[in-house]
Amino acid sequence: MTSAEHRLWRRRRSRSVGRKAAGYAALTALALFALGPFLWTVSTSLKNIDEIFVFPPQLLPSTLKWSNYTRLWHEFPMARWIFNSAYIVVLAVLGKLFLASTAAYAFARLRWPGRDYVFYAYLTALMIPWEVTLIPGFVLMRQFGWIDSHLALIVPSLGDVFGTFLLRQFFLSLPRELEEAARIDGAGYLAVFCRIILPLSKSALAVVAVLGFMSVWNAFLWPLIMIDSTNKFTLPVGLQLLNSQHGTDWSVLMAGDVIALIPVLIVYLAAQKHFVQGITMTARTG
Amino acid sequence: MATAATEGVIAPSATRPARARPWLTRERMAGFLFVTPSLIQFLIFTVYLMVSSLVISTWSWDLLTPHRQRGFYNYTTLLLHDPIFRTAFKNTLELTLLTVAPGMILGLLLAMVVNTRLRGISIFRAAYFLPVVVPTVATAIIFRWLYNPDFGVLNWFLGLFGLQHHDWLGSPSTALASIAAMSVWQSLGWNMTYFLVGLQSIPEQLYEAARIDGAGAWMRFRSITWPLLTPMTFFVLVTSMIGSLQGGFDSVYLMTQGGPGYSTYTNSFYLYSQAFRYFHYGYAAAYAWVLFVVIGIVTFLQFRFLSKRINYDFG
Amino acid sequence: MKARLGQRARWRLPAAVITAAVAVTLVGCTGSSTGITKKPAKVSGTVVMTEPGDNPGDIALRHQLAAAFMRSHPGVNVKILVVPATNYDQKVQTMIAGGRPPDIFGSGDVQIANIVAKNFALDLTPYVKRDHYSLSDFYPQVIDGLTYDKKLVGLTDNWDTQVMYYNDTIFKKAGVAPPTAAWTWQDFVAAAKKLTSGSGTSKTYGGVFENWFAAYFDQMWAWGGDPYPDKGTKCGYDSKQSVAAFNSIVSLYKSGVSPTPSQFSDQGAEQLFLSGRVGMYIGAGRWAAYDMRDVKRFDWKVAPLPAGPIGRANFFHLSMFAIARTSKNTEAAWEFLKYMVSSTGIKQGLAAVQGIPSRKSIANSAAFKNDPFVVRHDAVAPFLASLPTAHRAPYLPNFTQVQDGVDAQLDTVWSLKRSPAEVLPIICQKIDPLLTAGGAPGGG
Repeated sequence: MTSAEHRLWRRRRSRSVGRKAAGYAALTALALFALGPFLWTVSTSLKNIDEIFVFPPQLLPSTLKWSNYTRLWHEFPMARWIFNSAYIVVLAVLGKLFLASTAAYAFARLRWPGRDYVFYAYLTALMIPWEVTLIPGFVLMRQFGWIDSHLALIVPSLGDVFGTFLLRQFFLSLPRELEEAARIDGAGYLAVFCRIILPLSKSALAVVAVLGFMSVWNAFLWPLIMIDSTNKFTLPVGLQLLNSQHGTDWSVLMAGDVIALIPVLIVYLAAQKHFVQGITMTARTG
Repeated sequence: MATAATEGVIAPSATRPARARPWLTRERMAGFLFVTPSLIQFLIFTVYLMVSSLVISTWSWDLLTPHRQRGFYNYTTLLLHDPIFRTAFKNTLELTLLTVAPGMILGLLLAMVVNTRLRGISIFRAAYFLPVVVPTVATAIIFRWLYNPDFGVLNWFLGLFGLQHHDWLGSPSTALASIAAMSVWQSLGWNMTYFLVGLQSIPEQLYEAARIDGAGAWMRFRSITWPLLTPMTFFVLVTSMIGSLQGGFDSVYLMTQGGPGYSTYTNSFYLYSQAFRYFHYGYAAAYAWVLFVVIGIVTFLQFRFLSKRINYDFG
Repeated sequence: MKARLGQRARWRLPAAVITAAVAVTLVGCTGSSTGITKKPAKVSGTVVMTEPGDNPGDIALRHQLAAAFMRSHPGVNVKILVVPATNYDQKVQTMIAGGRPPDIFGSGDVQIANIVAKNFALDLTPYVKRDHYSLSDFYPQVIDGLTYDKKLVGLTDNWDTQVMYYNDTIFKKAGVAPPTAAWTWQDFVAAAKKLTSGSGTSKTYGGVFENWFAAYFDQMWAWGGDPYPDKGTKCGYDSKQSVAAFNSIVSLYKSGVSPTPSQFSDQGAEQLFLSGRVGMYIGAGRWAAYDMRDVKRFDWKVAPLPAGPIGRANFFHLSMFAIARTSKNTEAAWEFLKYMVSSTGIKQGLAAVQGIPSRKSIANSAAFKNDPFVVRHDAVAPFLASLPTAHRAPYLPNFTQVQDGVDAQLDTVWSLKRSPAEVLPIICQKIDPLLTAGGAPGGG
């Protein structure tokens, strides 16, 4: 390499390094914008009261006041709320997957009279705003005697019209040859569904699971109306109780928020790929 | 019907003598059985509730005393004689405008920023997406703190640029916009990911060809990115508008309870108030049907007028 | 969230749930109303009682009373259900409407007309008669207030009324004479001006006026106005007296002796007083004394509200315990209710500082009046002195909706964007239809 070439190379390299550094700086600034509120939440949750009511705000607590957390943990059944939310979301998501995948199979692969009409009815239901079913839903739960029961949170949420639609589109895209071969070998429809369709659709099922997780985990108004007992609360309703009881006790409120964020964060980090895939798939089929 | 069994999946009946085939073939049987669990759920929690909602919407009912049949009374009162309904409707439209437009523009910009092959970009994308998965209730509490007029970070930050303290949620002029700003922040991850999907499906060769032709960045955006992105733009527009027209409950309930004045009353909050604060269940049911019709019309119009102008070449 | 489907065991649960759903639909449900029978020898079963979640002292007391009651009534299980204070009354009514009523619910005076109109509380009169339960020890104002449409809607362990709290330390420092029962509004304003000093976050305010209906009702009454005259069928916000009353509040804000509601919105007026930056605090009852029990940095005392042009007026707060009409265990609920309002029950609650005991014998007892806390802060006499001027809450069947309408309009007054003379007539325009039966959007 001649020295001129070398200089040129160095200049190019440093320019691209500089570009990269600028890129990362911009990305980090944006990340601060996205995550800043959460970091601030963590910081506030560990502050003493006199460090909260100061202006300009103090970036970090001078000593970590863990007692905000212990106080919260003793005063409210936080663990119970997390458990409630978790088991409700697991049952609801499993139920959603079951109902959506079986129906999607019936729509995608089986021919039966009325199939298209039922499918159109499902598609129409996608347009119904939740407000329409709110009041009759409350009345129905009253008739069932499910008010203040977790059944009221699980059973009505099992239906997942959009998930059914997603899975149907996915099943339609699967090659039929495998199924046909299995059918020739004498496998019944159930066997084909369980041994061929479902294993091939893991990614799509994961997408339905992730979208279902978000809708059930974040549900607020419905559980707010349905559940009365504090120990049956889900996490969002519990947070609302905190909010109305400690409206100005910011360190305790923020500690509650941090505790509520942890499970979401765990699920998100574990299934991050599927979240993104979910959106991709929604966009493709939608 | 006879030909149907011969195409696609080979039905078991096809291997039997044709004359013996009953109406209820094994395939039909399987179809019914597979759809039944979902269909029962659908019939109870969608069809029945819809019908029931329509019936209740003609009643005057508090669930404690016997209901009275009122015909269209609820609908006429709502549409003609309820000023709060008009306010809530206006606020909902305003909230939609304030969320959807900035949310889409910022989402697209963010998608263009993260559409690179820098190492570790997926970590950044994950970070930008995080606000989406956090429950609105938690986010609303955090933003109440950020917006705090005396000790909030937002006032401190704006103070660095010499701006005065402002009571964001407490002033009628900014309360709704503050809620909108929170939902923009919340939904940025969604929009980013949608647009990223759109961007990544645009073939790289098009850009290279344009570069060879000497097109600048803006030119490339206008002649390649934007037209090829329109189906995705349309999709994001429709879904976020529908979402926004139905939304605005969680944040309003936690941050402002509709105030100050009626400045943050949204349709969902006023409907909730009518049902579960004033116990006018019939009225709220009628309200919901009015919303249903409005959302239906908006969706229809969007498909009608916008879809014509969309380039459907990629997919 | 990796769901592995296709295993048969996983299918059974949702399927079973759906089957159950269908089964339950078919069974349906029936409501029943029980007629009053003769007094059972022994009560048993579960009693669920709701309690708003914003008063830790009250919640602790309720648990304590429940535990004591269960010791003396081994067959009864009392459960305290803490309900978020935001929309508390509405949540209770939703529970009752939803067919899962609490047996006993705590409620506020302003809900009484609504409760009677929708008939969801048990009329206690037959029970009082049957058990020859004496009401004579209760303040007559209490029993009067809890009787509506000839029905005894509930009973209570206390009554409360609006007073003024003042920071004696600030008064002494400024050399201003502390409030007396003879104070008029002019005295209040003059003192507030003298106490106001400093600026910014270290400003000391002369007074702070709690921003809620009870506080401005006091002012309206004291100026000769009335929010809902003619038994709640008219709107009285636009009267000359009402406008003058609101002007008196607004002028406090304008002159800077009191922070505006938006200035203290996020801490609350009481918090501001607790922080030691306010001379006088108007708009709360005796519950505020509970929140102030641990204040060490300054000395505080209670005084009656200053009098307006036609004298003093103070909102009479009546919280009550009512039994849901659809309760499945009315007898046990009635027993627990009686226990809570008995002398033994009330005495246990004195430390929780919930108002003035509803029983005269306890309110006038030396033990209550000479408690060191009471003596130090003068936390009884001003309340007793205010009883003759106490005004009962307006009993409107749709109070929540009416007051939502009023407060939404008043926000522009409190933020000083518009004057009371402009806004109050609008309020009457808006709420007039709500006050005539059947005129409310959604109601009727």
